[in-house]
Amino acid sequence: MSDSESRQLVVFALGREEYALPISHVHEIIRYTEPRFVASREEWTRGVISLRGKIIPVHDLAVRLGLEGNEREEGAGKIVIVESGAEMVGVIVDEVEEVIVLESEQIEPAPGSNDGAVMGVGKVDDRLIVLLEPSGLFGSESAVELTEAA
Amino acid sequence: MDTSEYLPMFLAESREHLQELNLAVLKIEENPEDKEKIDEIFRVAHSMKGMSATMGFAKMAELTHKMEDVFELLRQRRGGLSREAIDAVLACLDMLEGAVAEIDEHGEERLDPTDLIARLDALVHERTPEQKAVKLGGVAPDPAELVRLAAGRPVFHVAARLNEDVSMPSVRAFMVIGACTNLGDVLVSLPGEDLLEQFQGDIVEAWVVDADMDALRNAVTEVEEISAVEVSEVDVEQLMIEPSEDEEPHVEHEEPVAEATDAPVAQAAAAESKPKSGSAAAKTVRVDAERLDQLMHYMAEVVVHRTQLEALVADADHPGLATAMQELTRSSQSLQTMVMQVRMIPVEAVFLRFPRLVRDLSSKLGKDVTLVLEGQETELDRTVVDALGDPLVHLIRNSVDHGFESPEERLRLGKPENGTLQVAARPTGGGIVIVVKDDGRGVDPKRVAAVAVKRGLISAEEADQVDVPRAIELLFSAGFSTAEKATDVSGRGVGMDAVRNRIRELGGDVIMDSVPGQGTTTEIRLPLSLAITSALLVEAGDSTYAVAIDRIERTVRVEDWTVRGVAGRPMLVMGEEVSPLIDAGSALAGRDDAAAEKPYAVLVSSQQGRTIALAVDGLLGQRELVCRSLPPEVGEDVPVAAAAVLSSGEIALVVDVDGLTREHDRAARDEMAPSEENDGELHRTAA
Repeated sequence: MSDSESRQLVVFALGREEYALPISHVHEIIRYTEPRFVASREEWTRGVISLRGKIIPVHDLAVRLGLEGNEREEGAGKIVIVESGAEMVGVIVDEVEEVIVLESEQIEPAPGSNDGAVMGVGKVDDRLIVLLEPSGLFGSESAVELTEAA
Repeated sequence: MDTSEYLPMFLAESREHLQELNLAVLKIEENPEDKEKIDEIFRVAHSMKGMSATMGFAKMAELTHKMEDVFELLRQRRGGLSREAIDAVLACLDMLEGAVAEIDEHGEERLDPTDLIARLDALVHERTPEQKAVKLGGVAPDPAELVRLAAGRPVFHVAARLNEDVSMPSVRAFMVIGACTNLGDVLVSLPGEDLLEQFQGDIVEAWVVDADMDALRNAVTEVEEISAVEVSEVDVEQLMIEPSEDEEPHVEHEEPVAEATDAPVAQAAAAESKPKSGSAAAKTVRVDAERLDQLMHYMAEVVVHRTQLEALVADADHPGLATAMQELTRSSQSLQTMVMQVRMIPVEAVFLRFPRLVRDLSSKLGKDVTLVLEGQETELDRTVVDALGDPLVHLIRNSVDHGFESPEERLRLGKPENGTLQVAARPTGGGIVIVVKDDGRGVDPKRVAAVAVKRGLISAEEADQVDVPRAIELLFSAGFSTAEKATDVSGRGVGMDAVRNRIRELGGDVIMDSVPGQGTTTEIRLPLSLAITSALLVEAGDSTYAVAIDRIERTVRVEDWTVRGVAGRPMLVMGEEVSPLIDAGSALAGRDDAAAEKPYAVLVSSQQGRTIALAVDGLLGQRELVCRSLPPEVGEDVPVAAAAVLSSGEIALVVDVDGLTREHDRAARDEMAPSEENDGELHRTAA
């Protein structure tokens, strides 16, 4: 994030926090449908859904980020279809809010340690928006590291 | 003319033609006398030129035309093309490929073939006398023979140039020669009598005796579609002194680029190979791949609806309905088989690019590698064949780059100087195997271990323990690449893990085996198609699963038989038959919900030759399913092989029967170990 450039981000709500993904990685947003459960090594993987015949995995972002007790009503929520590399994954969020443009000056590196899921924190007025790194979120590399660490 | 409609077809065909040419040129380099290949080159190049010209891509047409001139040398000269010519032609093919890609992307050709054309021109500059002669539709008469035939009489040489747009040159040639015959004695003619019918040239020549020069000129001039006639007396003695050069007819012979689409020689070539290519063209139809996919999709829908209908028909009572249903089922099954067959293509489609790949790689890396392709005719579903290209290219790159030693090193090791790379496909039961085998240096555990340590995959202490199987494991782990220097050959950041992932996505697997010093064998195993599977849908723990019909022996009600525990594991006892009873809910979902007794059991047989009873809550009926692979991050530890979307939109997981058996055996083994130690204790408890 050294050079000055602007980023277009899709902002969504999760619990009482705000998160964002680069719009270039967001393929589409669909209404929440209950994923078909498939056992997985990752506790945040909720199963698979069929997106026009293609089977894609669905991950629970709240569980991935360790947000405890993030309950949402039955049927509420959205699934953001994120493109990461050649793969597509579904990410469960509470609500999609808006698309904003952030200049790189508005983005600060994430405080504290993280495992590659967080790219930085964006400041807009008094809001703090956590920028997520699509490849670090559910990519196989982070999964491998985490399983090995466990 | 608006040709945009034809653009996709043009692009597809051009790519195909270029690949064929690449391959044929390499074949010719190997064996210059292969007449069939030469004919093929002409046929393909000619049709490529015609297509480009029709589509308005003039530069492509021009370049192809010039390339044809070089190919023409093949027909005239024995001993094939020089290395230089082959390189120039391959460079052309590359440029044409680039042009096709440009057209695909931008809709216009962006190539500057000037330099290449100059290079090609230089190659064809010196035309042999024979070559000139063939252009004229036959072999020039032997001067000595002419002198003998003339027997001292004055010989007149008639040369008639046909109009550029002449529709039937052979007819005109026949008329010209006929006119000469009427006036005198034709000693020799070009085309000769035997070549008259297939004559495609534009100059007709005759050597005539016992005739009047003016009469000859007048008669020939009267023949239609003749643009110029020259008649002259031949100096027979001069002929004897300078036999070759003087044979050139006096009419100027030039082959302008403008007539690109009907160059005589190429047309002659096309005519020669007509019986074969003509009939093949009539029997095959080019279909957009996307339409094939759609066809498959609709076919799958028809099958799903048919099964629903079958269920309804079973309950209805209407005369003739059952029979009609049976017939519908039968024809829909035939249709299904047909659709599957239509989608099958030979793996040759991918193999075609390997000869060029290996040639380029080995010459770039200074290695001497002979490529042996086998089983190209083996057929696979189109989707599988398409997806197979990149992994195979990667394996071949790896072999040539890392596998083979330099020729000097090979000699020192007492190996044949040139290495052999074998790529062979062969069918196995229900699938195919593609073997990539080299006789290079094999996997070196030390080198692999060193790299693995550098990449942080293993610790330095572990490195000493690395043997060949462990080294192969490391090769397949993410983030490993043995490329010591980043060449443009390999080491592009895709490693063997990418290859394996790709193949696994297709429902297959990759197995590597290596003997240090002797070579490496990599086997890719693939299912025949991503086809429709007949499956029984079952319910377990509120979820739907599918079991392939061909794996099911039968289904039973558990309460009709006895369930006994053996070492704490339930077994279903049906008379003589005893099978482990596995709870589908917990085995397949990976979570324990075996609490509730399941009323039904599906008896499945595994490839290991065993029978397992899968306990389920309900049997939902037979369906035809289109199976899709699961994303890599789910279902790794549970025996589910794939997913299928049902007509309700719900997703059913397909049970991996063999995996289920393996899982069961492993669990049983793990339990056996401690139970042996506690043998006495157990007996006491039982007593």
